[in-house]
Amino acid sequence: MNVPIQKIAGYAALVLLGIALPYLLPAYHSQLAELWLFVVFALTWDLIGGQAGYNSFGNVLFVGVGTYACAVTQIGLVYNVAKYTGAEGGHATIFTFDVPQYLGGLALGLPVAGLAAGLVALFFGRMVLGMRGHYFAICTLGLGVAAGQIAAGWQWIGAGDGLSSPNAPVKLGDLSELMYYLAFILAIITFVTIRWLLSTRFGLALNAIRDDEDKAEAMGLPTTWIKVTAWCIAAVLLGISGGLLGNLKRFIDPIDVAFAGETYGVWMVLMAILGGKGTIWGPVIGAAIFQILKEVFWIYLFGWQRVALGLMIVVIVVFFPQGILGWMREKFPERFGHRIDRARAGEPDAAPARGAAE
Amino acid sequence: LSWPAAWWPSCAIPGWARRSAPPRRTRARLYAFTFGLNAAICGAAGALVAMAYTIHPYIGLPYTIRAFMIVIVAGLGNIFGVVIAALGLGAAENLAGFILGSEFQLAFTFSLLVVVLVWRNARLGAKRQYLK
Repeated sequence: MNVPIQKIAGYAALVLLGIALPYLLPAYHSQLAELWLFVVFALTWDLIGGQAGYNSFGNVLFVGVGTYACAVTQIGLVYNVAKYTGAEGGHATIFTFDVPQYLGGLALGLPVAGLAAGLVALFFGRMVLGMRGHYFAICTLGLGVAAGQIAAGWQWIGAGDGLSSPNAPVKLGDLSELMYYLAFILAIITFVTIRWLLSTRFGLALNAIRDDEDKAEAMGLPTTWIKVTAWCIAAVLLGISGGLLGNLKRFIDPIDVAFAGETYGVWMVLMAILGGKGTIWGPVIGAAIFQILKEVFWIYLFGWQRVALGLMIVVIVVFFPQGILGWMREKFPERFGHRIDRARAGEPDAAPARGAAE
Repeated sequence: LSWPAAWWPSCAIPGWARRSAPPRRTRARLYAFTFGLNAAICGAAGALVAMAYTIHPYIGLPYTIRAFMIVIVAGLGNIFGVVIAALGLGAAENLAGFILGSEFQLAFTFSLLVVVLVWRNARLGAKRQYLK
């Protein structure tokens, strides 16, 4: 493989920036960690929403499953979960974790979270991914909300009172840096995985499903299995990010943190659209811009932050649906590998991408 | 009241306007009119809800989901079926709230949505295999 030296240098610079960020902005550890989690959210949503054309509004289901699976594993290794959540009474006890218990729980909890979310995706994928269009969208929305409501009613995992993530031992000090690097590594793994997937035949099959599913199936592609596989990969990554989210937020509310359809569920779609659906860098850029804008709104428009965010969502979806990279691709198609024969096309400004969109 | 109101467009709008492709402006007006009628009936229903329950900014989503579910179960365009399905859902939901406990009532509604869609999809899949 012959990768140009500029490209390698670019990637290396980005990774170095990611490593250096917590030292450059020491006051914003948790916001930066959230940024990398958002990158994971947007990239995994884009795998099924942008590349395969299936607009899922229920990906937050996997985040929630991962959050709870990780927290329950971390707690369950040391204590009885029902005692911890108070489902069996016993509120007076203080639950402490020592260093190996805490780190071991985290190391085991994150893979368990990914596995649990992947299994859930496998179970529902077979049923749900046969649907098309609006039916799929509504069904996934229902899945996400239903899971949140079930978690809010299930006493064993704390019901509506939520579940606190295990307290880190005092000896370890401030763990926000560790969370940042875990989220950063997860974002890199996600990016590399999805980039690799899209460079294989599997990525081509996903794009074939997006462009014309009936034709893809008639050509002999096992479309349902391809969609289920993509969904499972997205779910595993989302599950791990959910486990990190629970440890980052320190408190797992069933509807506002774990199965937060109104916030994370909508935002992950929005970030992918903002950056550009169906591109690999689009969701990353979209997530970065979105997280910065969100924090700015929270600081300067406090009280009206949701209104500002909602307005932004409406403006983006109505006036800017192709996203930043989509717009760039129309403007500079050569930079994206689309070759245009301008002489044969006749008019110098007609780009094929634009022609296809109209 | 809303039953005749829902019937009315299908009688009042001339058949050619529904079947053939009318001019774009006529069609846009038809859509706007139908949507306005829907909004008016929904608003009236909302006033009735406010009389029976406490209201909050997020009260809308469960009703949207319920409405969608009822229409899917009844079949799109089947107005009598909608009435039956709505009565059925109302009874089923309260029964579920009674049996499972009220904290699972909404969970039941949303799970039922998923079940209904999966069931509908499985039925369509079966039909497709039959065609094979």
